[in-house]
Amino acid sequence: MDEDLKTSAKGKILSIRDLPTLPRVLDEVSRLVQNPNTTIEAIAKVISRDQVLSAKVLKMVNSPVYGFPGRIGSVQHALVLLGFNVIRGVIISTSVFEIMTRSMEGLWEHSVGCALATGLVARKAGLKDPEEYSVCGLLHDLGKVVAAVQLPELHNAVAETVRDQDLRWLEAEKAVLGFGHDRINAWLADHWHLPPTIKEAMSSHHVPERAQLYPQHAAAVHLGDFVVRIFEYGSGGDDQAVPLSPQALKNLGLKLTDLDSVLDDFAENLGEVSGVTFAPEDDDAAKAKACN
Amino acid sequence: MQKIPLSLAKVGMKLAKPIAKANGMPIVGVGVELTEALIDRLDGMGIDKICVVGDAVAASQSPTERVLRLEHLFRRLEGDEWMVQVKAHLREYFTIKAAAEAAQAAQGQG
Repeated sequence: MDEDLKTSAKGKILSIRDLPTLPRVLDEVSRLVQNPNTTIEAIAKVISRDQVLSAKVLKMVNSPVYGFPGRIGSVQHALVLLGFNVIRGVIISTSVFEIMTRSMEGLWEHSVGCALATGLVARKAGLKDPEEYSVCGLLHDLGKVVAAVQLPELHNAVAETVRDQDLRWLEAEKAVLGFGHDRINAWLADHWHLPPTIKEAMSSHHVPERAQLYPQHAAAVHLGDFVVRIFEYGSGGDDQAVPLSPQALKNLGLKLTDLDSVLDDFAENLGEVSGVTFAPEDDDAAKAKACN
Repeated sequence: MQKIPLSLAKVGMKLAKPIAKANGMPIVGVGVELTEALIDRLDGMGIDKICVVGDAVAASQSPTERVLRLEHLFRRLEGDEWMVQVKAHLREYFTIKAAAEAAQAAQGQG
């Protein structure tokens, strides 16, 4: 692809025309959070008005991904335990669920698996608020979805390049588009006003040694992505291991052998995590019927 | 039985339901074992979901299967000394897990 086409691809990616829309309550809640006098009750009240969204949030936060299985009974409780940044990330992920499952087979499973693995890595490294790391894992490949929605033809060309040249998805994106989903992630994070921790994790998970401000977030997602790929749970678009950054392990104070217990816990929780989807109930029933 | 996307289909899985075209015309029957060629053919026909016997996807993540898949996953990292070390460590990890599972299964049968 020549430079002109690369520039035009970037322009299309960055146009908000067909970007996944986020629930309106998220805007309202984001405004509330700007005010230091806003109470958690007030935020919970706004989110709870959308019952479908609340049910999705509770389903996700009660999954093994966040380590409180079945114990969070209300949005308010979720906000107290996990904080607004995590809940905002969960709301974004549930909002893009349908579009993600439609645009890239296996990417939702890969994302949920990465969230689980990233949280386990953060716990192993003894980091504070491991749930915030999990949500970084959940959102780490959103740029792939946006590229698929905004530029379906180029997305297909990336998939073909992966197959024909045996490349990893990121390498094929760079060959076809001139840039990867990590750059799209950075722009999306700005567009959706995500906190800098999540932005850096999303944009630097392939090169965690380049993370400037929050190297531990980028490193945790890097390791989470490595683990989910080793288990081949879902698909990030290719079937290859990613080069593991020794610096990422160092930044987290971990050795290679420390990954063993992460792998143990990942394998143990994978079955339960595989049930974390947000298809409407009638879709589920139809699917069950189709399988009988 | 498990309904899975074709992208997760692996050689050796068995069909739990027949596969038919949108117009109802049967393509493959129940019990047929998937081969590389069959998966490619289904892909070419635009089939995106299939029903397979057992908890096949979970089985594909078993330690035994992981040991077998490591060479494939690391195929482009062979020249990297550090990654060769990482692969060797993972092979040892999954081999020990697979042996433990096999021992447990033998104990269950005995």
